[in-house]
Amino acid sequence: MDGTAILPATGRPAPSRPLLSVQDLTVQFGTRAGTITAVDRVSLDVAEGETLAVLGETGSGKSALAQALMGLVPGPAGRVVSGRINYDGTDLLARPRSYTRRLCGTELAMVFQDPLSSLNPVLRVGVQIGELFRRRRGASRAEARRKAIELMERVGIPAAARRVDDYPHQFSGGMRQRVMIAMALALRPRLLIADEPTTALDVTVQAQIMQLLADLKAEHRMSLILISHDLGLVAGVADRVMLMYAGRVVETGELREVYQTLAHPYTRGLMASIPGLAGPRERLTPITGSPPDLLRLPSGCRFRPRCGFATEACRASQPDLLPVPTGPESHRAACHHAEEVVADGRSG
Amino acid sequence: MDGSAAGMPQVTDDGPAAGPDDLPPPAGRTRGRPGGLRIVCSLLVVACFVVAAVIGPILLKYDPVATNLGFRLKPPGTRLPDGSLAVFGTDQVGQDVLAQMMQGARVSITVGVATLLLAGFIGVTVGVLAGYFGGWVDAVLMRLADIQLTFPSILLAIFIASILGPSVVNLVIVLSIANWVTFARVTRSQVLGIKRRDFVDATRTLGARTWHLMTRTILPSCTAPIVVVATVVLGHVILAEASLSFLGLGSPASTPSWGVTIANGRDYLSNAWWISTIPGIGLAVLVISFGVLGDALRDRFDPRMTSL
Amino acid sequence: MAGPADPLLSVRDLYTSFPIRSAFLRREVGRVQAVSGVSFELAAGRTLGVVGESGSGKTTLARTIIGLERPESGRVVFDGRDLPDLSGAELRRARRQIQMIFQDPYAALNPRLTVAQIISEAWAIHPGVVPRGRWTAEVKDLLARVGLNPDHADRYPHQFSGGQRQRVGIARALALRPRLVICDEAVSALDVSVQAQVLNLLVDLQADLGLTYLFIAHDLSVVRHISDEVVVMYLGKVVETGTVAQMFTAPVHPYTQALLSAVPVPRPWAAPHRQQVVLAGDIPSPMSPPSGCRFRTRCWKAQQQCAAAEPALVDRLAGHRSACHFPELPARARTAAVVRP
Repeated sequence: MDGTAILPATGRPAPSRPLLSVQDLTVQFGTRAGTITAVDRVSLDVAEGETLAVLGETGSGKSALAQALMGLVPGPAGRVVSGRINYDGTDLLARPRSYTRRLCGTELAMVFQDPLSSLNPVLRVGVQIGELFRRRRGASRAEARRKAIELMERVGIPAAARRVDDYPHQFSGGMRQRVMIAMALALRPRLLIADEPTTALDVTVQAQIMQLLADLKAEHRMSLILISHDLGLVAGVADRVMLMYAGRVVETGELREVYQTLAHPYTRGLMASIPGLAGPRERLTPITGSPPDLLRLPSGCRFRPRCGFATEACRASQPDLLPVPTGPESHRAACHHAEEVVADGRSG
Repeated sequence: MDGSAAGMPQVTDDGPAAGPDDLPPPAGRTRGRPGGLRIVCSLLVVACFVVAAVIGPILLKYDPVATNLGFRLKPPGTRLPDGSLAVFGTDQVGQDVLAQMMQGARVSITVGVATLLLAGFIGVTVGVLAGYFGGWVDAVLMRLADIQLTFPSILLAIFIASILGPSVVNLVIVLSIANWVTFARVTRSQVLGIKRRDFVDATRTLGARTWHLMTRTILPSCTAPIVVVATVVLGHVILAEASLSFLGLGSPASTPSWGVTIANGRDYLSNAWWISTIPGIGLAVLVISFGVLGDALRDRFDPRMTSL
Repeated sequence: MAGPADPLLSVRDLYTSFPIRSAFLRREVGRVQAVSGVSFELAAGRTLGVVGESGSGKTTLARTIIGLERPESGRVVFDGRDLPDLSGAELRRARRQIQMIFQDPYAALNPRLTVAQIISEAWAIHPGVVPRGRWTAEVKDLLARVGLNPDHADRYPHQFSGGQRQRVGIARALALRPRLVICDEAVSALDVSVQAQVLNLLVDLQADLGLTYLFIAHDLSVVRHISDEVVVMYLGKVVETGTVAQMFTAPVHPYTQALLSAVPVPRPWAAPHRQQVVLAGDIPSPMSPPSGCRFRTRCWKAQQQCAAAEPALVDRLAGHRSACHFPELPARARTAAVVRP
């Protein structure tokens, strides 16, 4: 079986064991037209205080991965078929869902893409933030309110003492996302999963939120899984990246190493698709075609029909996620021609 | 984006996606859809009634003025002097109840469909105009609808029947006046939602005139909910027609609609239950079928519609 | 008829506003000034990028130019003729030459029509552009031109992926052989690899058909890639305008500088001299814009003067204009101080 390699935590002086270690996670969704494997034997590690960026386009399975980590895969259509999610030494999948639920907030927390639909529209935000303290910490009403104001101040909501009594619709998109982050951080989780936290926001507000996440992460020595489609967005925050394509991990490693030495044709295609902000304006060299239909996956490597390096070997077998020959052990790519891709990138 | 409904797996959002030249074959019509069984069953029942209304009176002649006093009030299953079997018995003047019911189904369904067409035409027109133009047009038309709703249709029927006399045409007019508002409201709310959609703007930027936008772009997108409303209204109309006829305000006694038959049998309930009961059951079955059909169609086409 | 030196599109002092209605009786209680006094010119065959955050009025500007909104005042001169002055058939003829590509490829196509019907609808509306007998052939030509399989003309929008639908939208916009195409966030909703394909397509179409683009987007790297000139809008006003080279190498307005610095770049370590400006706060509500300079509430240079008087759009260098009381000279802007409020 391929793709079973367990990644070392990081290249840095590694902590004794990763906070979160996912092995061979497979998530499937039943649709009327057939079963699709949204996440296909994905493994990842996140160390204490580390930020992992999970990158991919629509249909790559990155959001299904996040749902699986939080125990939020929508049933009965979706289910985790196999794999292990080891959080701090406990396999969450071996425990009942209620176990994961108990960890939510205090250990794990999540920030979603659309803050408006994640907030209760008829409750004041202060009440929604404070409820966490009341329910989980047994705080009094006044205490919870004080804590809510404190948190709102910390996430940069101006005039927090006044705005604590406002309803979600009275906040702008950026401020709502701050409220969501405040709620996620209320109980000081050790791992925060942020699923496209800035996609709905303007670029200046996006920069604010990313700055906030980076600051908070440093302050709490919190681990962060940042899920995004934007290669540039995560560059300033993430330590490591993991790129997904059609449910599989195609490339992973230290962010800088991966971005400098693109070892998978897909990663390379994505990079080439981003118009630059400096330098000459050249014609873009995008990836041809569209992502595959998960119901009709091509044989062998899933990226093969769109790949310029594809050969017979790619049709015959799915490539394993293996260390890139010339790079450090942590840089892995799932490509039969990784060496070629790297060499081509260096010469080009 | 509307595809981001909660609980939808993200992977299905991008739908069929392949290279420009290897699109998957057309999908979407093959998946099972909600309400299939209910739609089939209720349609079958409705079809039975329609067939009975169309063919029945040809096979089993019914003469509204004929009497056969020797065979009055015979229970279901009696054999008549002409050799035929009175499956549903005979009434107080010796008429076959089944023949009368089939003739009545003709009246009921004709009145129902005619009302539907008239009310639907008025209602959809008003709804499209109000929704599309908004402003004072909307205000005037919708206040008119409100006034209409506050006016009991029974009262209106008495009023019209007393002026024009009871007739099938008058019945259609009364029922149309009572029912166009439903069409107008549903159409208006649909138009309000659709006219702001990007594809309508896109057609507008092509230079389309108002008429083109209303009839070719907006109206076709409203059809599903209108069909749902029509189905439910048809049931209501048939029931209302029977009620009015029962009260003597609808079809004249010479036209044996179900309401008339039920009313006639009222005096004989103690000794000849079938005269009122059997047409009553027939009416109930038909109206319930339309209700079920409407519900099922709504589930299929417009699960969020709550306007009924 | 416009002479060769005249711009294809000239917008002068355009104002567009929307009524604010009360919940009770829907009475008009005020107006939101979405576009307030925008002027620019766009020469034939060129691309003008319009950038700004949501609430900047860039989409309303596009909708006003194409006639989906009525301007309050100001002129939209297309090919030498003032569009709001035209009426009936003349207006329809003029409008035919301006088409639009919409942001959301899912919402902009009528789900009940096939691709062929969507594209040929334009010809049903404007008889005489393409005779009915040529429709099928013409649809196939257009589909091939935008990179779709011509045999898929009879499919419905839901059978295509997002990128393919956007190509259908482009084919529809081209059906009337327009001279000006307004792209309203035309690539924003697409995945990055598909976005690059569509950008290349737009560039090719411009070269082949001599199109003029008004390209509205919030993504500055995309705008830089496709535009010749750029207009930066903030709360309905133009704050800076110039050529791409001027704007991206030496932005002079603080807002432009902030926007540029907020663009995520994949390899930040490769551009160590990039400014780091993280703006505080959100864009104010257009219902109650700040007095004086509208950007002053988020500007690190703001002084008393900014609240008192509105800065005019002043030419700083060779057509590079900005509206700021404290402009940096374009030549010096490159070394602007690193600011992190």
